[in-house]
Amino acid sequence: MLKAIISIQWIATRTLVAALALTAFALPIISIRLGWGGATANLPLFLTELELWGLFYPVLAAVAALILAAATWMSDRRGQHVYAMLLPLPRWRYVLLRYAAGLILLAPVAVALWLGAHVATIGLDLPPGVRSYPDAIAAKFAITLLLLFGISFALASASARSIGIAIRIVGLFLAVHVAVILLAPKVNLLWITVRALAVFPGPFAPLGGRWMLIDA
Amino acid sequence: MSLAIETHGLSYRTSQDFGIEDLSIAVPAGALYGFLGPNGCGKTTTIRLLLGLLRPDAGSITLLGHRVPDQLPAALACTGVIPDRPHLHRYLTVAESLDFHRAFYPRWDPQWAAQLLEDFRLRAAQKVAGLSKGETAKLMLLLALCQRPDLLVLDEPMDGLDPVVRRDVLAALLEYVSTHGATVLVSSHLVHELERFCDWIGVMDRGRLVVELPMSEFRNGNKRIRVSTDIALDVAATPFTILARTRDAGSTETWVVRGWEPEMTGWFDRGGVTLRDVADLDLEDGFVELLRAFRTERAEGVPSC
Amino acid sequence: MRSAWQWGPVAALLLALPLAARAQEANAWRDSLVRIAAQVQVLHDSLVQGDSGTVEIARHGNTAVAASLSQRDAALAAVHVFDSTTGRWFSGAVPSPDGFRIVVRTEQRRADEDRQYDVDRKVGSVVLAGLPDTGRAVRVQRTTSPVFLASTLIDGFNTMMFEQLTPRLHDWLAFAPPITTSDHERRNLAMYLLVTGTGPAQRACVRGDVQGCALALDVRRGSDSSAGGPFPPLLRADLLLTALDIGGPGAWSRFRDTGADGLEPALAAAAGIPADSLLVRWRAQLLAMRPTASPLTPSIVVLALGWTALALAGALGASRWG
Repeated sequence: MLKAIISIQWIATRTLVAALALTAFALPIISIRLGWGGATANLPLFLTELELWGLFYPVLAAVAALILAAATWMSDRRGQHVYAMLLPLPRWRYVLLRYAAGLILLAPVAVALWLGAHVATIGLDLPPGVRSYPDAIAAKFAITLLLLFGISFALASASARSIGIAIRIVGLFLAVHVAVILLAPKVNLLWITVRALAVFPGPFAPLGGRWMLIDA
Repeated sequence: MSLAIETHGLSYRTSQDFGIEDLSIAVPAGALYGFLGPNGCGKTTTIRLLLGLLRPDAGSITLLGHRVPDQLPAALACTGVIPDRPHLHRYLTVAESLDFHRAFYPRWDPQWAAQLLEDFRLRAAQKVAGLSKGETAKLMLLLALCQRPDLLVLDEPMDGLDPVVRRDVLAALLEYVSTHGATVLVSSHLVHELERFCDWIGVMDRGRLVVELPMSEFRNGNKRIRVSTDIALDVAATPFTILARTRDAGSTETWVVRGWEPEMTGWFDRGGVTLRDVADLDLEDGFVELLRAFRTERAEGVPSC
Repeated sequence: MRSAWQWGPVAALLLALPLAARAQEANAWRDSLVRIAAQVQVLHDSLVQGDSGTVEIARHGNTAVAASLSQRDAALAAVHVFDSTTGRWFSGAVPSPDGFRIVVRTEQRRADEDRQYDVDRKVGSVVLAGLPDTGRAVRVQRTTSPVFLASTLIDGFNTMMFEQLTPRLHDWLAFAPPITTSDHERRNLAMYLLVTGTGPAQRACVRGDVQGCALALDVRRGSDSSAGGPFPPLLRADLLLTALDIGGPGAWSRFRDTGADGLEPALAAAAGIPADSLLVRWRAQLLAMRPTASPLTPSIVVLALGWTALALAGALGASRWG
């Protein structure tokens, strides 16, 4: 069954997967090659630039996870999930199969980044105090993909009713936020919430931190 | 009599003013069960309940001996379904759709699938999105049949199909039923379509079951009779149910009756009424009269059936 | 015998001397009174304005605050930070025994009130008239942030302390040490500068060669011209702050007072340990700041897996799939 689901998911997303894998492969190479020319002369500047390039890794992970999660459910959603729900297997198992297939199709993206990171750092003459982290950055990218795909997958699998409820909750929250801002300008609920989500142990904490292919 | 589908007191509210109410149906194993009713009467909702696509508010469902929804996967493993709307993955080709589908059904018959593909003149490389309505219907039937189900649930399968496609679909369906002895529940609002092959019918209206009986009983029990009478007749005293009564010219009346038995002609002799003519009703006429009587009864607050 | 006219001028002089002394004393008193009056006037202006606050550090630890309650709170917090920071790095040393003065105003004053001061608008500072030559005033406008107030006070103090140093120490440091930057931030930046150094001496220092560190930090002058350029000034400042940290109370004074003997003795005096030992500790401290081999910590992995599981549970628990 998993093979069958992987097969149809691959047919649906192969162009996207290929494009994402290519981007993941190119990202570390471009980030190093663009700045390395004068790096030996000004390594701190190069590292600063590399830190900016580091922002693209979580962005790529988010884009890949969102696109593939949406693509995973698009066809089922179009058929109002009838086909999926008529298949003779427990529904939770179908969801897990879909999830597993999605993860398997994300693997090429993670592997491409790992390969790209190695290709980018091969043959660089780094000072003794500076090291390259192709494996570590690929591992961080992979775990971020895993997390973001899980979240996107859950959102994409939600029913229209659940999405409606979620949108209403967000709308209510924004209304409360505006009201609180008007009553107590120093209390920024939105910022507090964003921080809670982005800082450990928030769900998006793994996106933070340093995404350095080359670092001290 | 073993039952392929059985529901008891099934209720499901779809909106404030409509819902399935206290629905109890029993589809015998091996029956070709025509599920009739006008558009919007609750046939599709009932089928969705049977297949576990909706959760009933009350009542119980048994499909091939499996309780729904608790044992739904076991029930669905032996059930072929054609839903009311196409639900296949549109980006797949016909061959890819077959490959995907067969992975879930251990009893899949690849030879027959190849045969049907040829019979239905479906191209394996054709994308599902590019299939015509008739081709889509054929593909859905192919998928439902080749999994070798014990039960086929078909929701308006002929709707919108041209006669040629209809004939192909029906032929394949009947061939399967005749060779495998499967049960078929087929819903339609096209009554004459079902008349040709169904041996049981259930009629729904406004979320309720109007009648459920063997086709033979329906055919033989529902009659259009012409009588002559000069007296005021006590219709409550008749041994059959008068569904409709119209006065023709003079003292002649035409009655549509239900529960007719040939030996009831003796009642006319005793009651001073002359029976002039007894005619069979076709399914469509019987269906229309049944609905008319049902709606009248409900409007007057008389319990139906 | 000298005539009376001969003694006249002498007597007059003798008589005049105490008078002159008294006159000088009176002038001094008058000047003092003028200064005090000017200060009182400033204080008065601040009080009358009501919406302005003044944080004043006149000699170390002497604080005058005149402002609204919130401004006063901010100023007190700033002075607290000032005391702890300058106490940590300078441990009682002051810019000048003659006195110093740093003033921070928390609100913009009207232009006509600025006229009584020599305002250097380009640098945004103002020197109060009548202060001793060693005095210095810094003004900051439009802020009641205790952090910013403290930073301004400390910067003023720090700059004055920096200017006390001998030319050799002054040139070596290049700028006042960044004492307001957090240790972590400073050392992190210093670590990057250390490990990315490209000169031979710099690379040798990273590998653990103390002589290389001494040369790259310009603590010791080498005979080998191929040693390469020195590390950036921030690393030298970080070395000094490490020495002050290790040296404890009086470290700054020892550094300043030994400056005439050269850099190496000054740093050793400040730290209270030999210069080489200081370099070894400094290097180890910076290298300890290097990131871990993997940016992926176990806690982040566990967190990601936990949230993923929760998201999946949410997907599975949805009514359609449950």
